[in-house]
Amino acid sequence: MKQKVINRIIKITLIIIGLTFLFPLYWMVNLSFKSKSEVYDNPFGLPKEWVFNNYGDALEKFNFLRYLSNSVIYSIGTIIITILLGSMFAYCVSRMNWRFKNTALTYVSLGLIIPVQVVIIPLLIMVKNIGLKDTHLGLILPYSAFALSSCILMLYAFFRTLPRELEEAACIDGCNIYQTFFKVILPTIKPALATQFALIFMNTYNEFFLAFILAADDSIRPLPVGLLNFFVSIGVSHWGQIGAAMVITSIPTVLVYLVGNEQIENALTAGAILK
Amino acid sequence: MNKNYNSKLAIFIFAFPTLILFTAFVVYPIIPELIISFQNNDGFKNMGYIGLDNYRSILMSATFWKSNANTILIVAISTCVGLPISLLLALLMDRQTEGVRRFFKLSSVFPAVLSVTVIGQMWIAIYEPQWGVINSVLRSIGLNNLALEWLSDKRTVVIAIAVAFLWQYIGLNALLFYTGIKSIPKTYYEAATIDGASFLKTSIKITIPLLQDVTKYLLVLSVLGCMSQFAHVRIMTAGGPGDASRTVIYELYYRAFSASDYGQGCAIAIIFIIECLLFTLIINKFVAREKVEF
Amino acid sequence: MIKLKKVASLLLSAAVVASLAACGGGNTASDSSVSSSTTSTSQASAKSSEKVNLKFLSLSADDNRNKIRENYIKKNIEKDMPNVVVEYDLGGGGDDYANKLKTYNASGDMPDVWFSEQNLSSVVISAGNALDLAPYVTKTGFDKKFTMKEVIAPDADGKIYCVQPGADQYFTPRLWYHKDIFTKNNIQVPKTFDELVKVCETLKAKGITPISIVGKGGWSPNLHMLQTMIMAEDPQVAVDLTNNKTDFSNPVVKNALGRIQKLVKVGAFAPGITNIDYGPAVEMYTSNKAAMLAMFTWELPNLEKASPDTDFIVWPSAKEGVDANAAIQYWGAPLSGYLVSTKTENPEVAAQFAMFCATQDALFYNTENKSMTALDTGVKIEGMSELAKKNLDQFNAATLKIPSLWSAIYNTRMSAEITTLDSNLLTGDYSPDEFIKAINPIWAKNFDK
Repeated sequence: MKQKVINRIIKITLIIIGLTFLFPLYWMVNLSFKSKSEVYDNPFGLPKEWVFNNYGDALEKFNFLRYLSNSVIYSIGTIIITILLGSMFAYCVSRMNWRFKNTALTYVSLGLIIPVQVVIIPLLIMVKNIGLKDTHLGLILPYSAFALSSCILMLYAFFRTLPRELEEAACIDGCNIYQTFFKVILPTIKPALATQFALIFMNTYNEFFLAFILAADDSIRPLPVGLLNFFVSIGVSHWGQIGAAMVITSIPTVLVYLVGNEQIENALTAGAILK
Repeated sequence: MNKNYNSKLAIFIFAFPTLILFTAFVVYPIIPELIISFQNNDGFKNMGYIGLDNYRSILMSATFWKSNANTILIVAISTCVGLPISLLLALLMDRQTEGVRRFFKLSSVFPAVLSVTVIGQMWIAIYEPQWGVINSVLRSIGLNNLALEWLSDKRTVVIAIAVAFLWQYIGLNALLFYTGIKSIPKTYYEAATIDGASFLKTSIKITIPLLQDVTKYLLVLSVLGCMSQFAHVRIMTAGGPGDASRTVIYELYYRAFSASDYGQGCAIAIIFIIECLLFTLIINKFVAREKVEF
Repeated sequence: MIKLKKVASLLLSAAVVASLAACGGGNTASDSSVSSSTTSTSQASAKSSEKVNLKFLSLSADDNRNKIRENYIKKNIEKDMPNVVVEYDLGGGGDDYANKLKTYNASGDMPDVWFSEQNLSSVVISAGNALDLAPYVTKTGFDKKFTMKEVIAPDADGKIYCVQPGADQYFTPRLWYHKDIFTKNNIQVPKTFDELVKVCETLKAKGITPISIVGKGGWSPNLHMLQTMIMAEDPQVAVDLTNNKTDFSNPVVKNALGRIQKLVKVGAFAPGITNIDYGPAVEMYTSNKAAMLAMFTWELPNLEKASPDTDFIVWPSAKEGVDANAAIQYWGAPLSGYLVSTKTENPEVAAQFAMFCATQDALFYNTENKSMTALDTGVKIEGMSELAKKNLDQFNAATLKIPSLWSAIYNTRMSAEITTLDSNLLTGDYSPDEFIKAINPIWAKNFDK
């Protein structure tokens, strides 16, 4: 009996906490239907008067489809490069025999502590020198380079726990190391890769700072930069439109998350980072 | 088989692309920063080498040390308070019915998926002194004198930001802990169940020790993630009131770009990187029983 | 586990790799800015049939700037300069903007034309990256179009680095108030600072926020309020500051800081003032939550539209015998406007584009904002409201016009420091003495070249 009561209390607590996580969603959507002045009078309640043209007005101010497609290009490009290079490196470090492998791993881990704000100017010079300024690749490569560290650390931890029998079997079948890696190993660690996919997507899609500096040309800007006009403080105070813009930009991530949620979760549980 | 794993060519092909990409875009840029940190440089022009002057004035500035204290406070709150809460949530979630668990899993990642701008603006509204959620609640239960100006009060501002940050990632961390719990083979628990061990006992004796790897991973990510905290501060308070809520990276940004002292900004960057290295060393030495693979 | 030695040796070897990888280009951020420009005069006379590409970086963080770019520059460029193809780069505002310009500069990738305000412009100019526009200005007779000659006057070195519409020269901070709220609460317009304090106390007691200001980053005190409070006691001290004849330990400055602190203490500003942004501050006034608003005249059309009962108060004086009408501060600064990069491939076209932008800027202010500009566009300002006329008359009647310390005098270091200190001041528990002690060493270097 006592156990039941406790269980119920825990259940309710969890649901309440879960609801607080959903609060931003409510807040944003609610905001997007309010008039300019009501946002201040009635910040959290439902709109007294529903305003529907915030979305139209917000969309009018920027080219949503173009920015969205750029954002998708950046995210997918970064994911592909990071996961491909990262898994190869992590595999190489965990399985192959070479003298400097531990040093190399430590070296790559440095990426976790180098803040991107610090290196922006040399980074731009670099991108310009190799002729990638104002191209999609000019942003994808730095994104990938910065995403590599945590990706490698996670995959490395995973490879360590992977039984060697897999490769031995493949070896007996006559696969060379490349075939082993791409045909046997990668499919086995799919769950870990899916997790990385999700994590890199979340980071890249919302990234602002690098994109703001490096993507000067309007035609290659991602959503967060395209929305700049909404999110700056001075002189821009139409919160209804800001809310609408926030909802519009968040839709793709929310969709990806809702659709992929099950896979990501399964992937995580299948033991991605963890034994 | 070993032949494959000793092949120089294979090692080169597997490791080199990463090393070159990483070196070019992450490590190489530090070198010019290091050089500029010895210059009197306003971001537009080098006005001469001044030795260690930038480092000296940084290390002697009260604001810099304050920004360090703020950063450490945020790190401490997020890891010492945030991670245990996440772990607790994960443990509780594990014992719930499928429906509750599904709902919780689904909602937990939302804050981390949304952009910092959205989250930051929402917290500004929540902390608003007159009509914000927190003060409205406090006033409605008669605690008027606890209804502070959260983001404008030097005593509360850093904690307020840390709470927003903590909340944003608590769900994601809980989910990661939970996946760790789920991957623990059931056999470990069978003996415990027969012994009639309580939830608390099984958690402490079995689950938590087996979560070592996840814990370490989250610990490193959480510490380093909080160290470079910038966006939340930028959006929620712009470092204010005064310089009360600046973090190290914010201070760097302020010196380099607002105050146009690029040399000093670079010096902070170098000091910051050293600090992070020290932090990782500390984690390795004192926290992790087995060394963190970093 | 980390081995520092290993890391160090790796960093070293990485340095070698990196310097190779970078193809020797731009080893330090500063080198590239010094490298000589490749501007050749032969390219200057591009034929009108050839398309010329220009990169234009502009502020995109305030409505007026956005309207000028979208509704004027973009619309009229095809007609006025058909041979020019413009690539628009939106730079945000504030530090983001400075950051962006600096990054471009360091990487040798300056936009051809950009808009910047005084303190940023002067850094760019001192680094030798701004083109002298004087030949183009005189050649086209652009300088003849100004009613205020000082707006297009050359710098001390005889060069003109910046063209602007001269709209800012007419902007001044006012204390706007709701006539209805004053009448309803039986409040007289305050003439002295002490009366203002009393009015604030009365309003506060009635649950109305007395004065709305922008508190985030100390915005209102930064941009005008400190200077306003100085001028309320002795305008000459403000003049002396602009000429570097006095410093912040001047007792008048101290009193001015004390007056701002006093306003904070009597609750003249909204709770949580240090975190209130521009938009919310204006909104607080237009939604009648605040009785007064300290804001520049560039908001006049918006305020009038949102709150028809708006009027303004001449800033109350803080010393007997000081005529609050006689002295006025203006926002304009000689180097706030459109600049051209020395590295542009087509200096002539770029200069023309800069002048075109200044003209469009003026057209916007004349037609949409219905405010005066020093640049005569030939547009007659029609339909100026009573309030706008009153404002202009009062502005013209002032005998002493003092440039804004913030927009025209402070360098970037000074602006940054003032921002921090003003934000501190608004907390109410930061004393004028602490303020002065912190700012004086920075001020001492303000006029260093």
